[in-house]
Order: sequence, then structure tokens, then C-alpha cells
Amino acid sequence: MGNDDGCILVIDDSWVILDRVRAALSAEGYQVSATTESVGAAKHLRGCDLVIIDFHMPGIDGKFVLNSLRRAGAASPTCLYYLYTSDPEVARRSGEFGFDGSFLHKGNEALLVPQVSAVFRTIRMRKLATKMREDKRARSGGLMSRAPKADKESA
Amino acid sequence: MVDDHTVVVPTARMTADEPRRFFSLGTKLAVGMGLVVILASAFVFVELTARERKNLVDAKVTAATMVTDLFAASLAAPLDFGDPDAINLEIQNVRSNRQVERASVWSQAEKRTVAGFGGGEAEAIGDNSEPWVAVTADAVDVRRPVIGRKKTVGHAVLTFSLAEENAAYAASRARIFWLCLALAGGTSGLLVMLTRRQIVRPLERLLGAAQRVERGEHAPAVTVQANDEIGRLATAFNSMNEAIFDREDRLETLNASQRELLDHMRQAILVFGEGGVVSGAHSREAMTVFGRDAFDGVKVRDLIYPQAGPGSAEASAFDEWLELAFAAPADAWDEVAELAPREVILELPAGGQRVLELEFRRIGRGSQQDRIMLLATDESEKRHLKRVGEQYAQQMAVMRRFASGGGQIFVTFLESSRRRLGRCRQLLGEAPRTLRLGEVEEMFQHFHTIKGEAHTFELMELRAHMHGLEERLVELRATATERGSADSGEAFAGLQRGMVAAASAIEAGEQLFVETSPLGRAALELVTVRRPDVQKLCDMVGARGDELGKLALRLASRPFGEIVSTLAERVPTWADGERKRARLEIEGGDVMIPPALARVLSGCLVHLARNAIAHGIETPAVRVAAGKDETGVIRMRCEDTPHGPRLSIEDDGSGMKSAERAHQRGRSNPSPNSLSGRGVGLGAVETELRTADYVVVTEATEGAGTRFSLIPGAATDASGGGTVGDKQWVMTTAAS
Repeated sequence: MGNDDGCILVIDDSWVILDRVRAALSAEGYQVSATTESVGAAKHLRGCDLVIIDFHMPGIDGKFVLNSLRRAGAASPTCLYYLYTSDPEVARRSGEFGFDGSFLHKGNEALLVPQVSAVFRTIRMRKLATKMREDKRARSGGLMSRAPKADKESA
Repeated sequence: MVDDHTVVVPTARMTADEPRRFFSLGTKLAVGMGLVVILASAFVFVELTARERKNLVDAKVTAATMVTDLFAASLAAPLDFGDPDAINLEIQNVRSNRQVERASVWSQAEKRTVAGFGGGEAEAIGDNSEPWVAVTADAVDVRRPVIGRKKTVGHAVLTFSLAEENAAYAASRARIFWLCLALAGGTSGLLVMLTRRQIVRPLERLLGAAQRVERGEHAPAVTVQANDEIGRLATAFNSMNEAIFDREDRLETLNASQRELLDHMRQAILVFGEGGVVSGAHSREAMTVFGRDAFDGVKVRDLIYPQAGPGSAEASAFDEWLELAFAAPADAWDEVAELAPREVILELPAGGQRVLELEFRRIGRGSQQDRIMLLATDESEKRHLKRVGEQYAQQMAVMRRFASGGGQIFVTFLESSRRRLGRCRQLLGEAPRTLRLGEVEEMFQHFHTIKGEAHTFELMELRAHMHGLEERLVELRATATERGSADSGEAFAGLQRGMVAAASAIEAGEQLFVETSPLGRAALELVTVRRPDVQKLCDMVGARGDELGKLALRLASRPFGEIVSTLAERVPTWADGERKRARLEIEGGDVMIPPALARVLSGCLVHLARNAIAHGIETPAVRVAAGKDETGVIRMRCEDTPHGPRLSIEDDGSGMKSAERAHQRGRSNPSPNSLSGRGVGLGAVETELRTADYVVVTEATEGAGTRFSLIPGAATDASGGGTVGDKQWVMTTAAS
């Protein structure tokens, strides 16, 4: 499975978990950055498609980290933020906290990979849906009516 | 008001769905024919009775006219001459006729009725002498002029009774009535019988056959007896029936072939429409894979993600894919199919998992997808076999990582977990006390981190203890969050017990690590250092023979387990290349190998292991035939001796034909292959080991295996080898 275009940032307070997650996702072809810096993580955001955030971290929780990352605005608008937890109740409330979704079964990297893969498929699906809408609009004559204007501008 | 576009539905159409009462065609025909026959019979009856009466009355009128003419003629003379006696005599004569009820005689001369009877004598019948006949219901009146000498002298009127005619008419009418009734009944019966025989029964047979066809039965051909419309209908029905069943037979055969094909494909095959709702046929394997008998109306999402919660990333992605798949044009299907899930893992109710490989194919001839076919292949068994095969290699890989310094991560985890638990014990204190929110939060973070890391290393007991400690802190944490602090009172004992149990679990994890590591306890003490630095230190002080020199040599020594860890992973692969099966067993992994031997040992062991696979281990079929396990074992042992480590490498293969030949360069291997050359490998091993002052002793037992012993030169006597019983052995020293 090639995922060369998938760039992921993982934020957790445990290097053990970060190493395992990075190894599992890198083996699937993703570009993975990992950090334990919950406060200064924004500097790793550039170019990321997906940010995976632990919830319970020393003196801070994932909700706060998420808000600080969103405020920093260093990520692309299409970047998705997912909570990584083993607690189904916390996962259920991920939407309330402002996350785009949650990954369950924390600590089991074998089960994390298909979940991450599903998110990247979703990203590609949305791009394909947008492309199909534009193609349809072009076929229905939208581009034809704009063509003279474009020619004029280029002239 | 109804506008132009309003469609007015007739009332009859609105009630068209109501069931209508059944009237059989036979009944309707019988009623219709009965009515027609009754009307016809009534007409005939009326006509016949009318004619009968007319005939009777006409005959009566003729007779009456004749009698009256005679009577008038007999009165001519009496009236002309005015002879009353003669008139009365004629009256008496006519009175003798029983048919005459009344008589009157009018005299023109006297202008009065001069004679009569039955009331006629007193009746003024007038002076009209014109002949006249009048018929009433009961009588016939006849008037005739009486002609005298050259002129009319009067006229006579006789009234004849119709009683006999009426009686005869009544009798005839009754006879005609019964005749018509019998005729109507007979005709109706005959028509009904003919209709039933010619129309109703053939139609009933056709109806019965059509109903059998409707039920899906193969109806026998309807017998055709007539060459009329019914006969043609029956012939057409028989042809249609045969055509239907011929098509059904072909469809059934096709379906059976398809089902057989699908079943042979060993795939769970389902078809679903927009919204992901399953409909239509499914393969037999689908029932096994998804554990249900019926699929109609079931959502495919619930089949492949049965345990998915509302926030499940995989199930949500599949929902979006479904929407996209049915909205996408046909020419974009390949791109859409690429984005479908390739694999799902189902948790089985009885425990265990089922791995399904998924494939989605479009169904539809139009510009979009009408339906989508899911082909799910159960890969569980295949994955299991692969996992079993890889498990050994993975374990070896883990060991290799541990041996090469990766184990320090685990050791670090053990140390950090102990440190975190120690900090938590410190925060909890020796006795119940008031804990600040920050202290509770710190304990929670430590517990949570240890739990996550324990899960990572699959130390599930430790993870469970940490989960329990987290749970115990929940209430305390809530109180501290609300008030800024919380009394550890009730939770104290439980937290203390939990931390003691967690500490034990950490110890158990360490013990497990030591047991599974090829380095043993040495793995706990190793640190990563740069080998050139150690080598340089050894070169500088190793020859001194004092404590510093000995310490330098110990630092440069490497555990035996570290040297062979990579081999354990490679042996099965090498064997696989030779279409054989083999595994490596290691003993004495924590024995330290001095630097001089360590430098050459790895290469020597590679040669010996490859040699054992190429010449010692048999193919699985040969091994099974010889009563051995199909997987061969290469065992590498290392033990410490006063003269230095002593090693043995043995296999349970066929044993060398001649152990001595193994040491003759270029002659030991009559069939060189990719694993072993022409005996150069074993010679090179001896040469390499000589540099470390080690000798190789070879023992071979034909059919039972070969053992190479690597012995410190100081511990052996130089010998050329020999044979003891059925064992051949040879010893080659460094000097030989």
C-alpha cells in the first residue's frame, strides 16, 4: 500500500508509544513525525494531512493541544485532527472536544493502521468528489460560457 | 373546479382493487341461455294458444253462419205471410240446437221483434237487416236478413254459445304450456350441457394448468379435443407452458452453474443497492462468513463493521464511499473502487478474528452504478498459517533488536515505570492525607502512561493493574477538580494495593524479558557503546594482564546470543530456499565470547549452519519417512569452561557420510549449490578459528546428524580422529 502523499504528526507524552506508532505507520508508507511537545507541536504542523493526538498528557489534555494547534493555523485547511484513545467514552465525545474523529484501541498499532488508512481514503474520496462535481459543471457548459472571458483576460 | 391538468380517476378505477365476486362462466351462460329459451317458449306459447282459439272461434262462426242462414231462409214464408205459428215452429226447431243460446226474429212489416227465446224475444234488435257477425268471449252473434218475395221482410239474430270452444281452448292451452315448458327445459339443458362440455370444461382444464404454472409446477400438456377457438387456445397455452419451463430450466441450470461457480470460488458474494442495502442472491460462503442465513434488507456496513460505534473512522469512511460509489459516473469507477476498504477484521462471537479481503465490482449498464457486488474472501486461515510462519521470525527479529541494543527500550520502560510508580507512592504517602489537585493529576498521568506503554509491550497484567488504579483515582480526581484537593482516605488502601500489584507485574515483565532474551540477564545490563572505542581500549590495555587489561577484554567480549541472534532469523529462510524446513535453537546466550573468537565466530557459524542445511537436514518428505519431524533442528550451544567458551553446533539431519571428508578442501561436497560451495566453507571455518586458537571436532552419525564442536586449543589433544562403534569422528587442530 503506497501512502507517499500521507503526512502524519503524532503527539503523545510517551516515546515508547510514539516509536511504535511511527514504526507501524512508516511501514505503511506514511511520512510520520512524532513529538512529545504538547505545547510547541505547532512547528511540526506544516504539510500535515493528519494529526493524531493523545488525550491524557502531563498537566494538559488533548483538547487543549487541539485548540492551540488550530489557533496556530500552521496546518493546511484540509488537515484533520484525530484523538487517539483506548477509552470508548472519550472517543464518543471527540466531536464535542473539536476533533474530526477518533482512533480507538490505543496501544494496538495493528488496529491503528486500518483506521488511519480509512481516514486517508476519506480525504481522497472528498478530493475525487470535488473533481467529479467540477467535471460535471464543465460538461454542462459552465466552462464553455466562461471561455470567451478567459480568452479576453489572456489577451 | 377541475383544471386542464387534473386527471379525473373514474370511480370504478378507484375501486378496481376491491375483490369482485366470482361468477363462473358456466353459470352466466346457463342463466343467459335459460332466459332466452324462456322468452322464446313464452312467445311460442302465446302464439300457439292464440291460433288455437282463433281456429275454434272461426269454426264456430262458420257453423253459426250456416245455421243462421238456414234459419233465416225458413222464416221467409212465415214472415212474408205473417204466420206466427209457423214462426214459432221455426223458433222451436232452432231452439232444439243446444248451441243456440238466444234467438230474435224481427218483422219488417210490424217493426218489432215477433218471436225469440233466451231473452231475445223481448229484445228490440232494430230494423237493420245487414248481415253481421259479432264474436265475444263467450258467444257468437249472427244476424241474417229474411228475404221474402222480392223484398226483405225481416231479419233473424241467433246467439251461439262458445262454452265448448272455451273448454276446448283451455285444455289446449294447458297442453301447449306443458309442451313449451318441456321444450324450454330440454333446450336449456341441452345448451348448458353443450356449453359445459365444449367451453367450460376445457377452460377449467386450462385454468387448472395455468394455476399450476403460476405455482411454479411443471403442468402436463392440456389435451386438445377440438379444432376450434378453445382448441387453439389450449394449443397456444401448451406451447407457452413448454416455452416457460424451457426458459426456467435453462435459467435454473444457469443459476445452478453460477451458484456452483460462486461456491467453488469460496467467496462470500453479496449484491447491494443504493444505501448499502443487500438484495438478491448471495453465495453459500456468505452465510458462513457473516454468520446469518438471510441478507435481504441488511446493510452491508453492518456486515463488515458489526462492532462499529458512531465515531468509527473505518465505518464512517465506508459510508462516504457508498455515497460516492453510487453518485460516480461509470468511467470513474476504477478510481472509486481504489478507495474502497480492502480488508476488514471481524471479531467472532466465540472469540478469535476473521480476516476478510474485500473487492467491490459495479453492476449496471448505464452511466452509473445500479448495484455493487461485494466479494469477500476469508483470509483467516491463510493469515494464520502465514502468522505462524512469521511468528518465529518475528520473535527472532525482536531478539535480534534486543540483542543489538533495542532491548534497552524495554529496559528503559521498566526503569521509567518503576520510577513513575515510586513517584506515585511518594505522592500517595504512607498514610491517608489530603491530596492537591496537581498531585492527583500527576498520579493519574503516571498511571495512564504506564498503562499505555504496558499495552505496547503487551504486558496485559500490568495494563490491567494500571487501569484499575486509574479507575480508583476517578472519584478522587473529580473531588479534587471541584474543590482543589481531595482526601485519599477511602481510596488509599486500594491505591496502595494496586501499586504493589503493579510493581510485581513489572518484575514479572522483567523476568519474562530475561527468559526470552538470548542474552539472559545480560540484556538488562547492556548499554550501547561504540565498538571501535572498546576495541581501541582493548588494544591499548588488553595485553597487560592486570585488572584493567582483564576489564578491557570483558568490555570487548560479546554475548553468544548477540552473535547468533541474526542467524536464528535466517536459518528458516535458507532452508526454505532449499525446499527444506529448519529452525535454530540457541543455548547459553549469556556466555561472553572473547574478542578474538567473537571476531571470527559469526562467519564460522554462518558457514556451519548453511552447511547443515545443504548436506545435513533432509527434505520434509524424507524426514517424515525416516520418522522425524518435518522441520529439522540446528542446535547451537555455548558453555563457559576454564579455558574459554566451548561451542557445539549440531543438526538432526542425515549425518555426513564421512566426517573426515568434510575437512578435505574441494572434495567434501560432491553436489555444490547456492548454500555451500565445494567444501571451501568448512576449510575456511577451520582457518578462521585457528586465528582464535580454536579447533573443530566433527562427530557424524549416519541418519542421526552431525555435530561440530569448537574447542579452545588449550583444552584438546591433537588427534587425527577415528571411528568408535557406528560413530565416525575426526579432530583437526589448528596446526594440522
